[in-house]
Amino acid sequence: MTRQERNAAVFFVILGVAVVGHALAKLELGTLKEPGPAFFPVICGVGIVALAGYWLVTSLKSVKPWAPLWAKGELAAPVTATVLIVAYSAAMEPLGYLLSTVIFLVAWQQAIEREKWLKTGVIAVCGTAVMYLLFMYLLGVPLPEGMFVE
Amino acid sequence: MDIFQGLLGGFSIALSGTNMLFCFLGALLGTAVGVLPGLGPAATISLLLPVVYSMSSPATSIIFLAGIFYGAMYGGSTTSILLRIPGEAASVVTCIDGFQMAKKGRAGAALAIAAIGSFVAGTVGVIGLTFVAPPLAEFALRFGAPEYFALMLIGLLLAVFLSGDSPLKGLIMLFLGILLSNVGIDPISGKERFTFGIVSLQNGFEFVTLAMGLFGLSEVFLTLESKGAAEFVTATIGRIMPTARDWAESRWAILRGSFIGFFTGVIPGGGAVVASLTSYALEKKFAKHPEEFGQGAIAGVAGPESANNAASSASFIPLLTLGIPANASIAMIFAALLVQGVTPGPFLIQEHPDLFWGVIASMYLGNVILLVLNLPLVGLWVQLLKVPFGILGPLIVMFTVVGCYSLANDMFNVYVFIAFGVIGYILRKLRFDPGPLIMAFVLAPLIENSLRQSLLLSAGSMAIFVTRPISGTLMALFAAIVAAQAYKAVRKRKDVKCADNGE
Repeated sequence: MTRQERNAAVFFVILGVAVVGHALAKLELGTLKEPGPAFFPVICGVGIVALAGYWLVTSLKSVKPWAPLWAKGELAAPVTATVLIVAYSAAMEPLGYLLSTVIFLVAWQQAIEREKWLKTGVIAVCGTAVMYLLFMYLLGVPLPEGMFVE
Repeated sequence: MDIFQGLLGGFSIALSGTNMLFCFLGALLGTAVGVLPGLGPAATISLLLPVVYSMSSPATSIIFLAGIFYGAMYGGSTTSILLRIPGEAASVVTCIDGFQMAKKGRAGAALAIAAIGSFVAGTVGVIGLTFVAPPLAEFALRFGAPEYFALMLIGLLLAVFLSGDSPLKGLIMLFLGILLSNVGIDPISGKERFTFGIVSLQNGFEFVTLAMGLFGLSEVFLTLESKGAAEFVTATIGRIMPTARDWAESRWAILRGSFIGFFTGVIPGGGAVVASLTSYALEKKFAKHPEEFGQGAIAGVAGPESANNAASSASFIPLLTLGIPANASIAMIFAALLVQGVTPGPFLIQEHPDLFWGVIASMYLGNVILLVLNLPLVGLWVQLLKVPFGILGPLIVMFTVVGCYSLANDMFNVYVFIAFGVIGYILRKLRFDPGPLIMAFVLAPLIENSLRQSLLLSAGSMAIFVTRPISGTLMALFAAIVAAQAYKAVRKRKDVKCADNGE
């Protein structure tokens, strides 16, 4: 077991306890004859606590030295991508699909891929147009138009 | 309905214009995702679920998704042979001898034997599916709630024990999946569970957002981490058609692989990965020159590639007859069926014979399409590897974000999808397999219902699970699996202790 795995095991024990506590406090457990809404969540919560607890107790002696999950600089791209995806999602309704997607693709190419501006522009415009045609005309999915189209 | 009559009807459905088109598109897309390292069949099916949900015919949507699933098994060998990077998990073992063959300038023969083996095995798998599925479905008609509960328990347990490297982690994922499916309004009492006052959570988590996040988005994050482009070992593919010696060395491997794949594919969790590994080990044992394995033995490519294709066809048996998904990809097909108002299980063959036989017939056609796509067009697929992830990655993200939004024209689903993407990424970094989570999430409502119904039937007595003949047998099997795993775990700990003490 690595230290990260130990932390994960502790997290799961806490999660399981919280689930059982919440289910017992807010929902009805019922009986074996008539199980209530808390019946299954409690089984799951107890199951998680038991498994993660067993894992923790039996592996504590063999905790390996800290080995980072990410090599140096490895996390930068996934974190940047997450930030960009959240921003893109938040911008889609107010700005509309077209504008938000072009901005998202430009930001991605510049922040993650470090592409040249010409290539960035081509990818952004073509990618947005292809997906627009695919969703609007082939799949019939209504896309947000944004506040500029009223 | 007679099997041949049913199959004939199935061909009339599969050969219709739309279904043929989607069978071809599925096979094409499947080969593409198999070729592209990183993007596996589970991730791709999850990404395409919103598209499938908008299709009007359940048969067409399942024909499409099935094509992606078994198509990926064909395509997976390309990168294994040329780059020593498995396109998907079931092609890991092909890297060993396939890459060595490529290094010796025999990439063409390796790719060809993989495609031919895949075709033969895929067809053997579908023939097995044709003849095994109907009687199994008929037998499963005798199942009541307790039998289903026991069966689903075994299915999930086998999926955990056979697929991942740590059963303990798999079991935690399994409980987490059940827990996530509990979010929303309890169907029996009508009370809200774990919604915390959020209206959008009253209907629970959308399967699509969960699957796309855990598989699709997390895959993008993982690929972003390692952007180092792999280099081709050969500039040219070389002669495509295998030599007479290649045929002689491969034919029995293909046949053995087909049967191993079929039998492991039927078992939940067994699947394509276990099938290919078992086949490789067996071929090495059967080989006249086992020392050639690892140096470019063609049987080391033919056997495993055949096995993973037979397994992918066979894994439709528990889905179509018992309503049990054998792996994460099949769990997504299961969810697609549910959304389309079709419940997979023993009644499927009676209630939706068009879908049942149409899908099976499409798999015969799909195998032929895949042989044509993979054998002469292998050079074209190699070109696909040159599309940089810098273009593919953001397009996948855009596609998934819009797909999630389109589920209910609601941004809430998009945020849930992103959250599960991050959770999936962290879980996979910590070597937790999200497969059991997805399978448990899909099966949880059925498990909960069958447990509650069983307890209602027995007035709260757990004895109902052991006193009925079929459920009793299944429970005994369940206990035997648990006991065997516990014994294995104790033995492993003992061995580790002995090794630590230097004994």
